[in-house]
Amino acid sequence: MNRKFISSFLTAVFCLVFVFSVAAQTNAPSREDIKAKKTELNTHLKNERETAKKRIETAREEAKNAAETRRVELKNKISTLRDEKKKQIATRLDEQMARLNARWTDHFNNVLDRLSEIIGKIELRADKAQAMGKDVSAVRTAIQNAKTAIESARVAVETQVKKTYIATFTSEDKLGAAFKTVREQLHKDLFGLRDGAMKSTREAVKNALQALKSVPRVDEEPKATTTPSQ
Amino acid sequence: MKTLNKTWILILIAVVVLALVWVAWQYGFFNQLVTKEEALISDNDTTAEIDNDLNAVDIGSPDEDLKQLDSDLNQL
Repeated sequence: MNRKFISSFLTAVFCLVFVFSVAAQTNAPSREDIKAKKTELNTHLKNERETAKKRIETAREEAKNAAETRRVELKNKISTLRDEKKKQIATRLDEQMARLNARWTDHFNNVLDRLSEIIGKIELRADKAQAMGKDVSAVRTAIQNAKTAIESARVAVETQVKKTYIATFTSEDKLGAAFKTVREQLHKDLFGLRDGAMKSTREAVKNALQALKSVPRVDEEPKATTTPSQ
Repeated sequence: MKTLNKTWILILIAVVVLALVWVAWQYGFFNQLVTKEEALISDNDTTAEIDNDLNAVDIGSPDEDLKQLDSDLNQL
């Protein structure tokens, strides 16, 4: 009885030792690599967001300081207007245009953060596909293109942040025309940014996703594969 | 004899428990129990999920906001 028990115990222990050794030889380095890559990507994304936010804040502060004199001049000119209603409207329009530029540049910056996050997800999925022996070179190229597009768009957003929209007029009868000119410029710049850098960046991210989708069975998770024992 | 058997059974149970703990550790089960800082990228986003994420990204249009300026502009 005792012998029988000892032999079954030893068999169990051998089985466990075998399972341990096989498990230790499974795709552990790949799994660890992917885990490490995920952590690296998350850290990178957070840093990128912080840096972009700081860049925008700095650019906004610079623009505010640079336009200070012109803004004071405008306020002085508005204060000389005889029509009280026009005074109020002109003051409101000046504030609204500055606020509108800030709101849309913040929005575009958030969109770029989101696109950057999506590129991170595509990159991680490409890493997993590569760990399974699939060719992801086209995806890597598309990812790099998208990253370049994101960086270019960030620069374009920063440039837009630095722009100021301050009306200049010589007489009260030219007040409307002056504000309309500034409004048109703001319209042109915001749409230029949206239809240019922003849309092309989204397109570049879409292309990277398309390239990823063209990899066969790309959504499969890397499975444990035994490596030859030494 | 009985005591000896009991000892072996305990050792066997201990080995099995250790094996289970080891396997759980290898597959990162314990890491899931620890509260972590929210990660932007999850472990297993499929292309369909990434597609949904991308479709949810709205670049937007400043048109409506700009039109709101027009009512004021027309009064100047």
